[in-house]
Amino acid sequence: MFLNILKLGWKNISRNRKRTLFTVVAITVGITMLIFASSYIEGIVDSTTEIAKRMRTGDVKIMTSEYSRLERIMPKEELVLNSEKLSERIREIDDVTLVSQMVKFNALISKDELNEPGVIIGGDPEVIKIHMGIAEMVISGTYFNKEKKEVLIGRLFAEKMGLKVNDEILLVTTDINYSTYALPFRVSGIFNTGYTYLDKHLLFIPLELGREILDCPNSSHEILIYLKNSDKADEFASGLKNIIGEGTYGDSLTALTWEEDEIIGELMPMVKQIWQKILGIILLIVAMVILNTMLMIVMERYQEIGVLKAMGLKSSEVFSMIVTEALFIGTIGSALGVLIGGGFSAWLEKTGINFAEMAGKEMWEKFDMPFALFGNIIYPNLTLEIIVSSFFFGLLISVIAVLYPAYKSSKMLPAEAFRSKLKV
Amino acid sequence: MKKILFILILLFMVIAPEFTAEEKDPFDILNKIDSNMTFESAYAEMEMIITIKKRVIIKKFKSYSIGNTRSFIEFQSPVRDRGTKILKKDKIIKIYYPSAERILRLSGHMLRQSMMGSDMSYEDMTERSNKLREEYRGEMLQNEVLVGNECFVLMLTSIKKKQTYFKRKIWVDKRKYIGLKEELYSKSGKLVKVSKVISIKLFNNRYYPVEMIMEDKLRKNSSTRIVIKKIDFNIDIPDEMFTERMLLK
Repeated sequence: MFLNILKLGWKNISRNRKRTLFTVVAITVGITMLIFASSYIEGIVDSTTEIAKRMRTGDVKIMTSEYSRLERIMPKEELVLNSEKLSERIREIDDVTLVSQMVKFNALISKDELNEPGVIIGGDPEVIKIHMGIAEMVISGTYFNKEKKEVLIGRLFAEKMGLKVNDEILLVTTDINYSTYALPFRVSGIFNTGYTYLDKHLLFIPLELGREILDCPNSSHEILIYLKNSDKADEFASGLKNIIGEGTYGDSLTALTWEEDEIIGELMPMVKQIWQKILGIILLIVAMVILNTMLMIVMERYQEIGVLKAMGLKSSEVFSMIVTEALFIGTIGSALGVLIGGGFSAWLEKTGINFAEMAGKEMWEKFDMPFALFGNIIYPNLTLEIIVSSFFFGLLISVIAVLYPAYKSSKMLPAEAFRSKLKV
Repeated sequence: MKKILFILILLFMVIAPEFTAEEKDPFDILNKIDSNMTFESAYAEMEMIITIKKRVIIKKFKSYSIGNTRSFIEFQSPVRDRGTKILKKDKIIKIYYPSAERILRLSGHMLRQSMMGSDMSYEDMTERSNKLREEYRGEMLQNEVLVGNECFVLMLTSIKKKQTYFKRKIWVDKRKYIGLKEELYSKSGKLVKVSKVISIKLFNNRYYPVEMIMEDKLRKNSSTRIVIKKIDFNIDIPDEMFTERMLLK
């Protein structure tokens, strides 16, 4: 009997091909949109988290509590003392893959009559080069030589000040003792990360020169620690409490995991929430389209259902037949949606979506956020979870959509079906 | 009748100075402060005591000035500031940094930066009453007594939309014509800076402040006290002192 219902359901969907095609297309489009939107959101969250971890949080970051509180204004005097020694101790711990010390401060960059503020990152040249990947992003000139007073500047900063490779700039700031200090630097290279904020404001110099400017030998503002397993960051940060609580490296040091970072911990959930709301609207539209089409295919067949019932088909069989049809259509539509949406997202995963090109270069470069949230290219991230959940969503909505009309039509008397339209 | 008239004339004579003071143009008062404060030339040895949170930083410097348009400052301590020189000519400020052996000409927003880590900005250093007359509208407020001194109270409001200090409230000692206190406000009405004169000395029949304090209200727990340790007025200062050559020397 069950097999007969299945056969009948399959026959029915292939009988009116136009109607089936229309419904399948509606489901396919909906599921394609859903998969693309979901993988796109995953892509944004992943790329932002990744760049934030690479550039500013590590898996665990050590700094003073006051520095952590006022991180946005980068208080120069809030230092981790003897950070060289502390870094050495941390490097000896298992699970640690990299320890990176950094000094960060605001400075004035001067060239002839032009003065512009900039954010100086003084870091280990090898870390900036390989781990942060800045060397790959140098579009003009070369990576800096740590033995020389050389600086790497962003493309937009260079444009703003009319700077070229080999130009000399003067970097002026107040040190940790409020003395004004200046050093001349040669522009060794110009980088382009694709992140407007980074390209417009950041300047990289070797850590030792940063320390010289600030007059803070052996100290740093931040120690970024990278682990073999990021998931153990919480445990690792708690374990550090003994070492950083000794008082040898300054008062009230704190170790924060990447999840406790301002961007990842506060801003990203907000971004995710906004996108989830957009996704919710997409889901609703998809559900409405599927619901509407499925409802339509039942409603327009009330006379046909009347004939079937007059021929002796039981109510439960009519109900099962309609649900089976919905299952078939839902499966085909969702599978096609997974294929198209998944294929499209997988392709974009490799090529990326270039927002700078889409929005226009000028418009994009005005999008200057204080924290680098989005790069100019977003790579969607298609996960198995997205594929499976989208497929079952399509299937479920298709079935749910027909439950009520299927029930109503199964209960309908044949005479009723011939006389009037089904009232749902 | 004659007696009444006599009393009236006497009364008028007594209150007349008050009347004229009330009618004063705020900018005349400011010009008077300027002329009182400006000497032909001066050499001074000063200390800048910056208190920020719990830290106290003392910076010593000497300054040469001619009128109120040209000045040359050379820092002597602390070690990192030693040899830093600031040349001010009218509105132009140039700084020589010994660590870089370079001269930086300040412009634009840089003028609003803290001067040598103090609560004062370079812009604060260059301001003159001329600027106030050209860019502000003045109003006399109710006189007040400040630390036992009768004061005119002036309120200046910028006529320009873009102004670092949109409003300025100034307390001027009526007797000595010295600005005893000034409150500087942003356009939103936020108090940005407060300066107060702590000590005044008499030099050649003129009063001159020898100790003052400025607080940048945007910097938490911060103040800068400027103390004049030594000052000689009307001395010979060669014009060469106010050149780039002297900065590099």
